[in-house]
Amino acid sequence: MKGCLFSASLVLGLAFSALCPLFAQTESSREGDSKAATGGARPPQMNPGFLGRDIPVFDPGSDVAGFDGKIWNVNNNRLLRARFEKYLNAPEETGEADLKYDATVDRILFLLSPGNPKGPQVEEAWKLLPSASQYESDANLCIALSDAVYNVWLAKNEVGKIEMANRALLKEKSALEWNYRLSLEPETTLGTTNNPSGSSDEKKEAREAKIEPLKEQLSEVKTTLANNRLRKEASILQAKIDFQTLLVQFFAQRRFQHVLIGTRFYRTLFGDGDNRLLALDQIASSLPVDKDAGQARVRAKFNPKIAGRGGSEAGAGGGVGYDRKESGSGGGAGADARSSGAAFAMEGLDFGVENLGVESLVGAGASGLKALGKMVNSLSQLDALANEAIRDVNEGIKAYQFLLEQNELKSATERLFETFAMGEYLPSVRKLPRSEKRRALEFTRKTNELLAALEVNDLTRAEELIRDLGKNAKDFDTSKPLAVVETAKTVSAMHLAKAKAAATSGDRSALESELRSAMEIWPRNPALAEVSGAIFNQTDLQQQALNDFDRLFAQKNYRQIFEDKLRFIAATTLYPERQEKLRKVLDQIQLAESALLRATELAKRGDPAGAWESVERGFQEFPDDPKLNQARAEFTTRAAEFVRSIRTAQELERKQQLGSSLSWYLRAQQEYPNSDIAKEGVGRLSEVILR
Amino acid sequence: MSRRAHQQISVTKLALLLAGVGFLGVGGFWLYRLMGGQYRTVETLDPESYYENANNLKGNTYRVEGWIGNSLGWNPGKGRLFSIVTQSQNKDYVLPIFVPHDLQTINIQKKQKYMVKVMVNDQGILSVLEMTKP
Repeated sequence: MKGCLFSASLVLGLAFSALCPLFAQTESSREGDSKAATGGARPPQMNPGFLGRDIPVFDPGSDVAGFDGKIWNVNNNRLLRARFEKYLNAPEETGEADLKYDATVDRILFLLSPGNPKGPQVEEAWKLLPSASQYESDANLCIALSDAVYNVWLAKNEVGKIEMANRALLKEKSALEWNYRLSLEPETTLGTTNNPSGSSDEKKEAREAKIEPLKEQLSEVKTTLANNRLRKEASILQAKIDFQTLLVQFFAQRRFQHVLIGTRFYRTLFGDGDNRLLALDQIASSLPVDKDAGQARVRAKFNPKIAGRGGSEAGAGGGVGYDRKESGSGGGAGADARSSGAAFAMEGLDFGVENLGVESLVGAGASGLKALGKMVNSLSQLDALANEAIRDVNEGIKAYQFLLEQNELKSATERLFETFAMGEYLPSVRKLPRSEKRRALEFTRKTNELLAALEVNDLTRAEELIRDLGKNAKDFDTSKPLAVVETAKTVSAMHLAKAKAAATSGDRSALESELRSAMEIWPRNPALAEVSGAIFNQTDLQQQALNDFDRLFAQKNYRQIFEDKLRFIAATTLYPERQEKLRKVLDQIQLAESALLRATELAKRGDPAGAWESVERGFQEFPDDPKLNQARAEFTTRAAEFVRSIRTAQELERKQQLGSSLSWYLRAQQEYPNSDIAKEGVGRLSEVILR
Repeated sequence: MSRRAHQQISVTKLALLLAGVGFLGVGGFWLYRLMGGQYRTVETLDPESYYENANNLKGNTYRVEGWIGNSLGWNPGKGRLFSIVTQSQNKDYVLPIFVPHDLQTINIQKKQKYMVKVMVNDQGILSVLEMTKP
């Protein structure tokens, strides 16, 4: 039944993998957000595909199956992997006990062989079976075989007893038939005159009374004879079927040596030349098949409707449904892919599995067994297959050893796995030295690690493993996996670059989206943590800078803002209101700085009045600037008269004493003819006076 | 006899008389200048007071003598504004004077010396009432 299920899934996968290329255009055009975005670098579970993830897909090229977002190598399931790794780690079975076991098996095979000069020695061989089963490698299978042989003998004894009983019954039957014939003869012969007065009816009744018991006894004897014949046949047949079942089981267990021993026993025990294999039919007949349940069917209908159209759009639809009424499940998919310019649309794929249930699967299993029974219908075929399997396994081991010598680990490991899967219990497999197996184990572990790394998109580890495998295994093609890894890395880097750009432009939505995309493609990308950390640190620093700016601006500490201008320029980039405030502050401080610079220069030239005036102008704009205050105080003492004239003029101007104010301005101008403040004051007041 | 007496006024005496008259004239002129010339009856403006608080001098008339400095402005309908440099206690003081439109006929040029009669107007400005070259 398992085999049938596997076949069904394989057929399903193959059918889809064959159909997939038909939709290559559809898929590529529709998967703009996944495959196109990653350059195909994402593993299959990241690319839903045009049928979604609900339908299993098998890629025969890579032996990889995908379903529901998961991928796995069909050769690499946990059970097989565990058994294979256990085998690879196990020591070679070349101990004394193992050698003795092999010798015993060989001896049994020799004793039963038709080539034995003494002819098949069944009893001798049978006696060796219990001793063979004492070894661990045998797993007590020889005892089971011994019991089966013994059962055959018991059945044969039973047949002998039945034959003896039948012989006695035949004698009894002859006697009864004689008596019966005598009872039917006329009475005259035996002096019926003893009862001369009896009527004819009475005579008839008396005769029937004598005959009737004889008839009944004769009938019983005949029935018993017939039953015994049937019992004899059935006993032999049952013994044959039991024996064959055991052999089929051995074959299924891949115990090919036991199959050979069994078939040789069988031929000797049942020397009637009847080698028909009845066990498979018998097993099939014993399955509880419900004929009303019907059969499971795979339904696939492809009726494409293709159309070209203009425009620029993209859409897709797919679905899987379950029809409870019809007890069937089905999947339907429609794809509509349109690219800009020359558009393309296609739909019309219908796929499903109908009537899938336990009963239908049991029926399918029974049918499969019957079909298998028709293909393998004699023990000779079973024997030949076992021999062929042994030869194939031995050859596989030799091939493995040769490939190992050539350092072609990939092929060697594959050959060993195949050989192990077929002939796990054969001596050539069990005797393979552990040192030789370890190399395959190492390769297997690394390939499994590689699969795991690719499944979780750990590209760094995957790349390491690929390079390591390529170095150690000459036949391991690194180009394809490396291309996948490199492409994925590039795409991840592109997403990170976009994330940086989004962070700079303040597009938080794009930032999150790009970071998520980069993380999906390469979750353990070292640059991811670095970039995201930098972005978030930048965000923190930015926020801190903004807070500082707001505080300093409120305090009118423009000088401090000016000192940290680079930090605030970067921080306020995204905030136009703050940016405008900063711009004004910087402009003002820039003017103040210019005033200070000019003042310094004038002071150097021995023009303290000009220096003071320069500082004073800056001071009027930024009275809180400490630098300007300091310079203003310094130059005030150095140009005291001029400063007094200007300040008096300004004070009187404020008091609307135009004449006095103007006089002081004129005096200041007399003291420092280049004074702009005085000039402006004179001009301003003159205009008022002449107005 | 009286006729002889009349003829006795000598040339020397006449020359001395004329010299005396001339001396008196020069002295008078000097004295005139010294006393303020034409506006000698008008009080001389104290620049320090003006500098200190011109509003306190509003309505007063003063005499100012000095050299014209710069032209500070001109309103054709109202007049002209000049600066004048005057001296007081050996210190130069620059003062603004307003020459009303009525005195537009006077050509005022820089560095000319003028004797000005001014009045402190309601704006505290020295408004020229009369002005003449000394």
